[in-house]
Amino acid sequence: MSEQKVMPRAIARRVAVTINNTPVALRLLQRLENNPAFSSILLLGTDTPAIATRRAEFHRMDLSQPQSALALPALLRERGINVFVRQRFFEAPARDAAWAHELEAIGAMYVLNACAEAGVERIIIGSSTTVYGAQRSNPNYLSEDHFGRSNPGPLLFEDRAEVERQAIEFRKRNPQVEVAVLRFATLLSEGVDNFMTRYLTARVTPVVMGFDPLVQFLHADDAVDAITMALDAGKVNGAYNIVGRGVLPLSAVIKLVGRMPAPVPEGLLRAGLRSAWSLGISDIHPRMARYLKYLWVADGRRAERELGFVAKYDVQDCLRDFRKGLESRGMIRV
Amino acid sequence: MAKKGLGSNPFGEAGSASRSAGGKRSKPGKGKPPQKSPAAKTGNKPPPAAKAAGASKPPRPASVPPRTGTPSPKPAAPKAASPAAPSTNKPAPGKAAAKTSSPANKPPPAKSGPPPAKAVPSKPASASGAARPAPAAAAKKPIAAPAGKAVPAPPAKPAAKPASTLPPPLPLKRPKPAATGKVEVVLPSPPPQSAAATPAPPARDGGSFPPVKNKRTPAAKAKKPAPAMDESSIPLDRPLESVLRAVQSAADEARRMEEEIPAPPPAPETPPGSPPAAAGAAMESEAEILIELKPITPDIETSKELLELDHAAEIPEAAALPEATVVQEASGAPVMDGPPPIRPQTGGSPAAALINELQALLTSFPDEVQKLQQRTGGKGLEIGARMLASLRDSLSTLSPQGYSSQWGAMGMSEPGAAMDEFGLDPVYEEKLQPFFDFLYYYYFRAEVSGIEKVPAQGRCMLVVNHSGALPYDAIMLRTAFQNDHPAQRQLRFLVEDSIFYFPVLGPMMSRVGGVRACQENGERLLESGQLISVFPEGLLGMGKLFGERYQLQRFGRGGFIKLALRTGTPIVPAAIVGAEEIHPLVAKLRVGRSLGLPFVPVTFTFPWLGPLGLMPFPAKWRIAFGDPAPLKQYSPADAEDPVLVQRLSMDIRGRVQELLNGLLQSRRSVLAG
Repeated sequence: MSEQKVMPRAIARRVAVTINNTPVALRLLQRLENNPAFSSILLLGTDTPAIATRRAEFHRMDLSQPQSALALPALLRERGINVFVRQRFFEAPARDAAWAHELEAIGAMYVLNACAEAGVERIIIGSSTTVYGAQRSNPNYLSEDHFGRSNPGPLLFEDRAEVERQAIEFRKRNPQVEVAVLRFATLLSEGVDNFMTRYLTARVTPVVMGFDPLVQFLHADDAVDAITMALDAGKVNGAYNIVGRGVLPLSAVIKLVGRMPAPVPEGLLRAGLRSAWSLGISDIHPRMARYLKYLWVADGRRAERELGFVAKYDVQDCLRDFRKGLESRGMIRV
Repeated sequence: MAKKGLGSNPFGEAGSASRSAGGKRSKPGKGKPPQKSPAAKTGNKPPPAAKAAGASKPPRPASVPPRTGTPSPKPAAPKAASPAAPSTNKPAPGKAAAKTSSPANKPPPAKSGPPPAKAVPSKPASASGAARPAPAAAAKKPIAAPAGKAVPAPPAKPAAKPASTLPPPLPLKRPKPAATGKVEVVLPSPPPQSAAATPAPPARDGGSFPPVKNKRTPAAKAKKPAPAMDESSIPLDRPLESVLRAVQSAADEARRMEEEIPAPPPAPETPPGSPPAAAGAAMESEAEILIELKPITPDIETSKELLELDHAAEIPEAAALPEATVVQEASGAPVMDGPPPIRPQTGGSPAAALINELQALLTSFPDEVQKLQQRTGGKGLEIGARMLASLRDSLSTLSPQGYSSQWGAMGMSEPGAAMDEFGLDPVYEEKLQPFFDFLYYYYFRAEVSGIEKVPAQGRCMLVVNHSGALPYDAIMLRTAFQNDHPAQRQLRFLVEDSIFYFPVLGPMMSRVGGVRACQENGERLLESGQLISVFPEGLLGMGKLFGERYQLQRFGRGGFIKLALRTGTPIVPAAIVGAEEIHPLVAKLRVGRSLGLPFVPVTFTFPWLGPLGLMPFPAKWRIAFGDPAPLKQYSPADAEDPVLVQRLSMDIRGRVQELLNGLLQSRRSVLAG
């Protein structure tokens, strides 16, 4: 089933990658540099990558600026880019929501338009399983088809959903371009910083009293594997859930990280999170409460069938790795 | 921590008590050991200690052998049983001892006062006349003795034994009770003095109460102090010891023989019952002292101990051969006295009294218990024992510490538990399983027929009638498959959405095997070859009024048929009779909408008795399975044909109703089936 043939149309693959200094982006960069199949690598971002690059070329470009709408297509055409990897810019809801929205949602629009203009053949878009929303009507395992009835919550999650809608539109208008949307489960491993890790390492770890949803995680290495598989696959189209193996109840996860879950009635929790967020003493977005209450576990079988992706790490491995990172930073007692 | 110390103590006492109920008398000087018993009571944690093992190991062997020596069959149960037994004995010995100590000074010297002196004559008596009891006791003691050579202590006891003759009652029921009666009579007189004397010593002992070794040391001390107390005993001390040794060696031999010949003697069981009786008489006088000593005993603990006592009472019955049980019954009169000793312990707490009564009830229906045992192939009692143990555990979870250690902060999960993909938590389920088994075997007395029609492997869907606000039916069905299906298949039940909207209930359901009912979940389960059950009546089934019971409601929109057709799954109809009477719904109040409830149920008990009204009525359950419905001729594409789906749905509904009617016709009463 898994079509591991190398992408047929691009003999010489010239790839452009949006980059930031997250573990996944940096590991992907290393992977690309070590793969001779990519004859040229163009990095787009605002900050120089934290690791030294050998043949990748970094080009400063701020996708939150409207000017990039003009600059990007020219650049892509000039370099003959035929594969574009648009990664996620934010892992956690930013306090400057307006700017984050420009970068995440509007920036994606620039990218898609530029790709259409420059004749890019394959686009890989990073998204997350939060686009399904956490709702009580969710089945235990959300398939890719459940997108569209969602209640994402924080603006960041709304933006991700909007990016996906743009991608769907784009595919309709440009059927010759392959667009793969990779919906990553919550990343959790050493060095990862996202809304979940901030929640798990907060001074108080509130949970919704009486609810204990199952949660799933994805190791950063597996996320990089998934991107490279999407780059290498013979044909990709549509959305893929990229998830780690296994699930655990949220309370068990909290305990495994060495914290104590603090059950709070839902209304109180929302109010508390809202005031703590607006006072700037909490990194947990107030609209994330629903993600602590309902299931939002995704089903990764499509990625397994069509990309051949099977996570190497299970939920316990992710937690172990995450703990290791915390311990090395002295954030938890061993 | 507390557990260890307490546990060890209890055992020590228990051990000594079981060895020789009468022996304590010899300890009059040591009135303390008896007083310890109070401590034990307060501690009450002996049982837990037993579980903990570890520190309590030494005591355990001692206590366990006496109890279970005969009825080896219930090794699992012994935990509770052994501790319980000791505890029952303890009180008696303690009291007896206390009284005896006083008597020593006074008139009773002939009987118990001078244990040593009497011991000599008594021993011979035991050897000859009461040969049975003595050997039995000896056999027990030796076992206990090996752990720590309580030998000294036991000897003292033998002396007492003759007087109280508690252990012997089994074989020589009548005569011994009489003896005990006499003893009691004698004892009452001394109390005044003893009471005065005893209080002080108890305090000491209680304070000194070290974990394991106390038994021995107290025992040793007991000997010497005792003689001092007893005027006549001093000279006889040595002879007594020698005799005791002889008895012990004989006991050792007996034990060896026992080991060689696995057949266990039935006698051991009875002692617990009788000693308490003897003690019971003494208790009256003692009660005051005891109360003074243990005024602070918390209710929970007492109830715990009581539970164990309960336990003990149950297990001996189970283990004992029919004869033994009969004996117990025969000795009913003394046994009746037995409970009284417990009462003083409880100090009148209502919960304790309740449990007391329960115990009395249990002991008074040995043949009932036996019948049950026969029917469940002996498994039931073990389960009952486990159930009681789990009840006790759940009592211990009342303390915040115990709660968090037992269940985790939310009472739902264990970190690192091996959880399956739908949230079934084996660890959590294992904790609840004893309770489910209790419901299954005892409370609902479920009877299953035709369960073998469900294939041993491969995907399969059960279609069952539904009732009740809480999915007892689903859980009992799951239990039935675990207990009675040849392949012990694991059943995953699809649960009404609305259950998952409530706090606690939803997570709990998924921990014990429930899955939210929707096509996606059903498909995933069936595609992995699992056995699932569906209740197509859904909410309509839950809201059936009492008058509508066993009349199947609309089967949803036929979603289960679509699911079966899409996945090519055979459907097995099943019916549960009894489940629709456990919560007889007389009215539905529509006021619950704002709370997210479809309706607020009104039953004969519910709003009126508060949470207690949620207790299910103990109707007898029958579960029947029909022949698999032939769906093979249909293809997955047929799931899109609404006409066909509706027809198939009605067909399956008819089959379930047919099964239901069959069961109902053969049923004579709701309670007894």
